[in-house]
Amino acid sequence: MNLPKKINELNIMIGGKAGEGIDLPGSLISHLCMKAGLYFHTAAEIQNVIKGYNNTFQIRISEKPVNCHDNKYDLVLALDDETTDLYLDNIVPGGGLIYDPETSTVERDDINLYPVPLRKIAKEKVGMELAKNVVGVGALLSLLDHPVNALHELLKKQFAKKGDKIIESNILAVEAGYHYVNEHFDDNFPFFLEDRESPETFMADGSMLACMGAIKAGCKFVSEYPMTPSSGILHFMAKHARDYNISVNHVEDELSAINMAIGAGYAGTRSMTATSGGGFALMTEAISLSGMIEAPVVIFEVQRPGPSTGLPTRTGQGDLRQVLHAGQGDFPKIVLAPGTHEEAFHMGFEAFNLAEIFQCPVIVLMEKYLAMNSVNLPKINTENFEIDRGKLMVESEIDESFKRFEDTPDGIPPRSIPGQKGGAHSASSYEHREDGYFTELIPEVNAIQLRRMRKLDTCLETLPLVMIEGEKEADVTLVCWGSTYVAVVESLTLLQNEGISANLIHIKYLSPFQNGVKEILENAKHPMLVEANSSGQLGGLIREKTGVNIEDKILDFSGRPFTADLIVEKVLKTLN
Amino acid sequence: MTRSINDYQSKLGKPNWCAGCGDFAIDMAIKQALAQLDYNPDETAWIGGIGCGASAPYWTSCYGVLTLHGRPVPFATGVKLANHKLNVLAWSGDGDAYGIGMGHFIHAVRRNANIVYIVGNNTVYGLTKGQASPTSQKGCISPSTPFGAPDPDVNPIALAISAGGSFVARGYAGNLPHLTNLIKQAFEHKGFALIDIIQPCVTWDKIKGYAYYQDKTYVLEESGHDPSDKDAALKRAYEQPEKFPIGLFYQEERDVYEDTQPQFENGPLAKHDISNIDINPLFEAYTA
Repeated sequence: MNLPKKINELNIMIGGKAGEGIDLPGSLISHLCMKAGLYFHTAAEIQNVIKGYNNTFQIRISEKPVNCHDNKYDLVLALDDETTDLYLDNIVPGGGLIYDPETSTVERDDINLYPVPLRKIAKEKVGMELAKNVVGVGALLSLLDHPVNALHELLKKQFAKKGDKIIESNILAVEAGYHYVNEHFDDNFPFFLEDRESPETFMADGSMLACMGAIKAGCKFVSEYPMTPSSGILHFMAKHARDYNISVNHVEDELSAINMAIGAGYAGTRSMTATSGGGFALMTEAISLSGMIEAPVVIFEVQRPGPSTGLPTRTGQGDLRQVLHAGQGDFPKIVLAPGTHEEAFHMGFEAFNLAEIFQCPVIVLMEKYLAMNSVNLPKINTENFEIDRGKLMVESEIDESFKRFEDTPDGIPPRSIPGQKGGAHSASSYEHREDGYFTELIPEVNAIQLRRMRKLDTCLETLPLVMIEGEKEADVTLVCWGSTYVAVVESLTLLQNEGISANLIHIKYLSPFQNGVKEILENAKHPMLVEANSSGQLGGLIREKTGVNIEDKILDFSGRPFTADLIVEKVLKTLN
Repeated sequence: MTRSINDYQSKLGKPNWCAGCGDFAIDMAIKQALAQLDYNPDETAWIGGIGCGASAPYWTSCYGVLTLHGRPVPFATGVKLANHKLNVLAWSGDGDAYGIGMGHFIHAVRRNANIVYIVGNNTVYGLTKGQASPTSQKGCISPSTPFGAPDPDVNPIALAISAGGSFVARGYAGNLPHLTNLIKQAFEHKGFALIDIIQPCVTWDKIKGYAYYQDKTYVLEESGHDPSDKDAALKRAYEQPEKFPIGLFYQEERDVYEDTQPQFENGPLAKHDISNIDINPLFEAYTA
């Protein structure tokens, strides 16, 4: 097969059983790309088991930033037979497959087959069967015509703590794989990995970026109970706790996590917790407390599919309604959902300003897909990032007239924190007066409830309008939220190739519900909802807020992330 | 001493507990202890849960919070860690502390943050009309247990000692001078200080009132008890129902949660300058 050369545009997948170590090749290749000046998006699909069962790691590489994965692979490194059994058809014609002939038998004549005895080489050359994954990386580099010594430095860095012997073994392994492919196969694989001059990038998943935003925002307190897929947030904050003087606490349960974070927020420290759907359910009573005593707190909710324990290691968007309705009674609550890694950073920062400006809980809703998959980005310029602490007073501003829960036109009362002279008051979970003392008098109860809810109107005025992305006029308007966005945006070009003009709207602020949606949808020719849940939760919300019913829904609740291909297929099916 | 009890009273109202309730005594004891220690009310956070005594933050001049049922301890921990220079006090009842909040109780004892935790233990859910509580004895007849409570009562003192409590004490609402002194000691202790307070419910507990407890309590400090002896402390904890020792059962110097972490060395977290945090080192850390 003589296909045109494809340089720096390729999609690699590594598959193997849990325990065989697909993470290391993934990490090595992504770091190699960073060094080479390329961009990538990684996507891991994991079974919820400790050992055994097939896991996959994909890395999609380009000279331009990549935001989304794709299930059509150019090159696959199969460490086990399940990878070849399950994903053989996902390899593009002309692509390649590196596999171990000991474990797999493969038949397909429109791709390049590279049987490499990975286990045997690892055993004979390195004396360690586990090193077969690194042998595979060597084989892969040979096919891509990338110099193998580029990996030496990375291996040294990766295994610095494990000592010279481990470093040497891994270098041996990568060299062995590299040379085996050089010696046994023709040099005709059409994909190449070449160095490019580009700005230095860093690699991070959505959790890390949200955390970086939080740290930039001055978050100094984290209390969390681990729950997949949100634990990355706890781990990252714990790792950097001492670099930035952050109190990071792995506490006994989610009830403790949220109540501690609210306590810290009440006392004037920017604070956060993170969890997934099940843990969030446990937090809801306290979220209402935060709304009632008007103590700022930020909650990162990383969704996995439910119901109940559901699919712990997969992705989904089934918690929108839970988050919007969390907590007893009506109280203001701000809900944001970033679409991309960069947005996760910005919203991770913004959430803390909003929490203090509006003195209420702020929930940043993400999915496993965004939180646990990585991209590389140029360093983000934060020069214009400003901390806004809202109506938090300095001691000299507090006088006799101070009422912590004052009825103000914008709904936001002045705020004092413990330690400030003259600012003491009772902050009560029971209904209370402007001065904090309890009340059940009808005019007082009505006034304070309306005043608190007014904060949402004030907040809405500060939010941007929802805008159409893509052509202003289009046959199809795709409507989405969260990180489903990245596949939707990619599908626009593919749809154009199919002769269909499409645009999209991405709703980032779910509460208060961003303005602009009604006008766009009323003028849209054919709106279609794209969501990763089975009931079309955003669709319901849009109907509630705008009166517009989006009839056609592209819903996926398999726990697997949308790809642009899948969206195109469903759009075409809907149109026909 | 420059402050008196009046410096800790709210100007907005007075407690609305039942006449004769032990909460009045506990409230007084706390305020007396604060006055004797000359703590600044502006630098004192008084955290309540949900229960009768837990409403006390309405009636103090300190920074007060009425939180949720069962959660005053995590909330208080958050306040303490946010600003560890504050004096932090949490006041719960037995339902708050040993029922719905039992998980937090054990972990807070284990964690040993510098907080005073007062539990008014009246062995009944007073606020919600007299149901049995975790400290009610087996067989206790109540609206929720008309045929007698099927579960044996919990022993908070023994639990706290075995969970690693660094200050475990019991007070009695019928002995104000002793209680005041105990609360003062609790504030002076470095670490998590528990005071479980025997507090007969004058409305719902028709069997065991003050008359019952008056002669059954005795003061540990006057009976040769050594509060550094854990075995002896546990033995005393199991003396009821015949006898109710009050005073300090067990005290130990142990690492205080916030003192073991360098994050707290540069002053309260709430006072750190957050206006211009440089996160470039984070970006750097994740380059190739």
